[in-house]
Amino acid sequence: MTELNRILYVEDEPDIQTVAQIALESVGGFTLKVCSTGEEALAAAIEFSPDLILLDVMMPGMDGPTTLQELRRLPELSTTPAMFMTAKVQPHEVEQFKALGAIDVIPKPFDPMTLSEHIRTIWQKHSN
Amino acid sequence: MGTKKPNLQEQLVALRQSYTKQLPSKLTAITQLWENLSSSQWDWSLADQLRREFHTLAGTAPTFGFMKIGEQSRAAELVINIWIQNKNIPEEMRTS
Repeated sequence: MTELNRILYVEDEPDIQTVAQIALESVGGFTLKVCSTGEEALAAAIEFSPDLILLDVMMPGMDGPTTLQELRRLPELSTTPAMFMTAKVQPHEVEQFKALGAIDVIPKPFDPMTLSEHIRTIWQKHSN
Repeated sequence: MGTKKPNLQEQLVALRQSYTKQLPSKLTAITQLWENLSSSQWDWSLADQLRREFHTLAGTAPTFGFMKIGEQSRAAELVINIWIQNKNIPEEMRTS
C-alpha cells in the first residue's frame, strides 16, 4: 500500500485553509501544498507530485470538479486519488462527486483534530 | 529569547476568536447583498454571489463552532439555488 505523505489541497477560503493546515500538517504530519484556486493547483501539481488531491467544490472561477478534471489531463496526475471536501453532502451529491472520480467526500465542517485520521482511513480503504 | 510557540489547541482557539470578531461584518455584508439583490430587479449575478456567500458561511461558520449559522446558511443556499436554477423567485419575495 502506497504511503500517504503529500497532499495537494485546493481551497479558496483563507479561514478554512488555516484550520486545515493545522489539521493536516500539525496534527496529521502530512506535507501540504495549499492552493487558493484551480489555476494555482494546475501550476503547482506536477512539481509537488502529490499522493492525494483534496479539493473544495465551490470556488470562484474554476470549481473543484473542473479543477480535478484538468488535473487528470496531466499524465503525472491521471490516476492520483482525489477527495472533495464540501458542505454539499446530500447522498445524491456524494454519488455525483464519486462519479467524477473522487474516492470519497469529506463533509464540512470537519474536526481539525480528526481530519487526518479520517483521510487516512479513506486512503487505507481505497488502497485495499 | 523567543516566545513560546502556541500549542495546537491554543492556535485553534486563536483562530476561533479571530473568526468570531469577523463574523458580524460577514453577516452585515450578506444583509447588504440581499438588499442590493432585492432592489436590483433580481440581478441573477447578484443572486449567484449571495448563494456563494451563504455557501462559504455554511462551510466556515460550523468549523468555528457556529452550528446554527451554518445550518441556516446552508438552508438559504439551497433555497437561492432553486431560485437560480428555475430563474424564478416566489411572488412574496419580489417586493423589497
